[in-house]
Amino acid sequence: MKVNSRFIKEDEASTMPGGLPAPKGAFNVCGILVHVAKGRMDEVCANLKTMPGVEIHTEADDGRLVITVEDTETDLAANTMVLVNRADGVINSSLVYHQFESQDSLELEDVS
Amino acid sequence: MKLTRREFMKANAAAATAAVAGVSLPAKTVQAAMPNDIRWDKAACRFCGTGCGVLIGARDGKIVATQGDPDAPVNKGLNCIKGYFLSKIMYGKDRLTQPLLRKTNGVYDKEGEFEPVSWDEAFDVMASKWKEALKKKGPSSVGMFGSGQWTIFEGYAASKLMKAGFRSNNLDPNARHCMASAVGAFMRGFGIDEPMGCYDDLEHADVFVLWGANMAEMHPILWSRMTNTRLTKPGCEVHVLSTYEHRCFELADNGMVFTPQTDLALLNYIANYIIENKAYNEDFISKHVNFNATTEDIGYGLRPEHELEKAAKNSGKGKFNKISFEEYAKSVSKYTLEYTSELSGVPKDALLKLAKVYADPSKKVSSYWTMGFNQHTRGVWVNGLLYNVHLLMGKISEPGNSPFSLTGQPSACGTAREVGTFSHRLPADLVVKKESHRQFAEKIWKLPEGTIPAKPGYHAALQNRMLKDGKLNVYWVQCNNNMQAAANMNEETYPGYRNPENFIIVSDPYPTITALAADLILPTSMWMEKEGAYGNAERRTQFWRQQVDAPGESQSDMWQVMEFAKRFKIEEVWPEDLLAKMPEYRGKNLYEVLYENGQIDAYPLQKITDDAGNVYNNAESEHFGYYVQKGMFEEYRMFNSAKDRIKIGHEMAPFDMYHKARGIRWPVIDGKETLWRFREGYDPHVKAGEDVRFYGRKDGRANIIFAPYEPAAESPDEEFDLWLCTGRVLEHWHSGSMTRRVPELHRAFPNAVVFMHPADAKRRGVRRGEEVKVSSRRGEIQLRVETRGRNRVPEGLVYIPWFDEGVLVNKLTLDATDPLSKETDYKKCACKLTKL
Repeated sequence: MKVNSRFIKEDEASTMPGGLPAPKGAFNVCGILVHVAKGRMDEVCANLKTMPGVEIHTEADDGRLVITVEDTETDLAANTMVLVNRADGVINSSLVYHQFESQDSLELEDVS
Repeated sequence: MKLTRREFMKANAAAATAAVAGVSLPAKTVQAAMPNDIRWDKAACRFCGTGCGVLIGARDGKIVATQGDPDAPVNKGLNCIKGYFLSKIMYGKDRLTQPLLRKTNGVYDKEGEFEPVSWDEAFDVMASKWKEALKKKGPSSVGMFGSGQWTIFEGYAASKLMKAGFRSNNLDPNARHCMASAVGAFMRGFGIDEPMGCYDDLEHADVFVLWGANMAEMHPILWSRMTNTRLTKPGCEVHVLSTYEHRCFELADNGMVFTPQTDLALLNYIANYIIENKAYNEDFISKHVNFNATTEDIGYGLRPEHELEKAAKNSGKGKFNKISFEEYAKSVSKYTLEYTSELSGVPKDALLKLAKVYADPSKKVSSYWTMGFNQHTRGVWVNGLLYNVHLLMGKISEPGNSPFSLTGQPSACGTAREVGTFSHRLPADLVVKKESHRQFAEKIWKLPEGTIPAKPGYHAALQNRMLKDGKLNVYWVQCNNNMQAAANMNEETYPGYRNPENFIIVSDPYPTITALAADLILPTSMWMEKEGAYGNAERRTQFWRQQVDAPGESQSDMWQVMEFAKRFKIEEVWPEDLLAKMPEYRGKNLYEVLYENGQIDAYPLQKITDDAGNVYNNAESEHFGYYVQKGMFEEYRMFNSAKDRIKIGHEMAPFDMYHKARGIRWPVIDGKETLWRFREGYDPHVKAGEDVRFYGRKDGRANIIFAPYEPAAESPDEEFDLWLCTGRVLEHWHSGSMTRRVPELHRAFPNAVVFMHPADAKRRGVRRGEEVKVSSRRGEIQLRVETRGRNRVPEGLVYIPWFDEGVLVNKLTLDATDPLSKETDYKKCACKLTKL
């Protein structure tokens, strides 16, 4: 078994005997609290709005934003979350909620 | 209202996040976020030593969601980016589900390929190897390498199997790589392990000083608490010291990059400044402190035949002697502002600014450190030098005044330190060297006197050396990836695993490089697949219930240890003279003697439920027929809480209390936790009128111990002209065996890079992104250059993270250790970088 090749091909089944089958593509949603530096709220919000899968829900008085980040066709929430954390004017960001579901269950089910 | 599941998930995410921030959401979103079919229960995070509370959302036997626990005092509903991994780490596609043994033509062969086998066959082969070694060379030829990621129950079960069952102290945890220097300094200075303060100091302090800790990336939740204090408290300052600039420097009021190893001098300078300006707290030091000086020129914990050991006058010596205050003052007087600034490269004004905050009696100072101090060939010294500064000022053991050693693993404190899985230790700070300690342990364990050997076993670095030398022949690794983690892999780690004389067993959920270097791999249940308990850096013990079942034939480390014990008749492991002292054990097996002892099996099976009435499985208890975790914990608790306990100050609450609480900080007295130790009014062990008492030591006084600056084991020279510093990155935890299995995060930071200064790159004619060769006297690796990014290293130093099994930086590192703590220095060796 080549130790180094584990992630080179995403869908390549594990070569280890007894390995689990690969899980189906999952869809991720994260709720994130973003702490913005004083006086930079507008700039940060404008920047966040350009990021894929980001939605700003509300703003707290103390300069914290409630946002959700979800997977899009081109970008995964995990990557975007890192971009949010490193964005200029962002002091800190904390993940509060994370859920993932398999892709096929997403569009079929209605919740009322 | 009609919503797709996707919108519904988003509404839930927004609602949970808004609740933590204490803000309300537009009505539409709130309506969407309705209770659903996910079952939620409290747990502790799997990763660092912060010990954040998380809520685990399970559905249909799988974990599908996690959120920061709003009721957890540590993180108050927040999680760091690593929280994203939590629900995914158990579902990597190469998860192991069956034992695997190297075989050729159907029989075990060290050179064979891995083939699935039954647990029976795995244990048969394993036990025969174990028995062969015991017969040939005795208990010193078997050993185990455990983990600060073991649950408390697992560590306790393993310690008992090794120290009492096999009568071998060759048990060490990977916490040796991470916390041993901190432990050494606590024991020398205070006679009792673990921090006196707690995370509440993050709100109480006026000044924060980070010494060799990249808190922003490694302990983000503590960083966010500190950030809040810095931004809301007038006059609050943050000082950051490191050998390179990292994310914390962005918030720093005083950021200082120093030459590696000169932290020893910096701390002595601060002590000198305090004394020269007569700023010290005379009343405090006269009542609560002894002055000492340590033995100098103590070598570098390498093999005895190494040149550096032969050259050292007092190789390995830790003795320290009492001196007067005047003698101490004279010892530090050499560390003037000029000398220290010159040596360390830190500008005088920055240094002075730092010294002044420590010396100002009106400022509450909290100092934090992690691997920069601990992974240091003078780790015990440098930890101690910081205590010296706090003790001189009396800035200790009260809200906001806190020297605080942070932890890298979720239960380095709870399992490795408190349970005592080190090669020299027993539970509750007891040590194998002391007869009275061994006797106390033997009494609790209902074993004959003389069962536990008095000689400390092989520590982590020594285990690898002894495997290579063929003195340690059967070796069981649980819950860690030491092939990747241990220093000097080419010369010291790999040869021992593949030594034909040795049989190596690795228990892991995944085929790590350690597992792949072994002869037998045992598939292991992880984290929420078992009932567990962790102890975090602020003495907080936290429990969780088993949330889901483990896949395939996986079993927990504790199940493996207990079940394996059944393979040994007591006559096969104990000599006749020992057995003669307790003839009632004749004919029994190790499992019966160690675990079916009327204590661990004292609690019957019970239905495990939460307050909402949800029912949870417990794989081990169902298998063994009694509440195993409760039995383990209640027996363990006799070490720290029984009336006749040897050391006070480690008291814990009864088992059931922890399942109800969001963690409890020991010592727990009359059901109440302790936030600050050693001070009257906070710590019930300090009596009225005593003010402060360091009761870990007989005279109640802490030790200030002078230690000088001594150079690193290996410094850059003409050929190997760069310092090499290794460590972590935010996205990956330790060796990446869990975090690299989350494909989307793997993509965010797929491979290790070498962080270097643009001028250093230019000088060598390499560009950002170019693949280069980095080599040391011990090996070489190839990886890409990063000259920008979050870590901005100074000229002359490169930083390489160690998470990437494709770029094994520990081929380069030197296995030099602190001679006192035996902890490896991963932060300093010499390397060179060449164009390909």
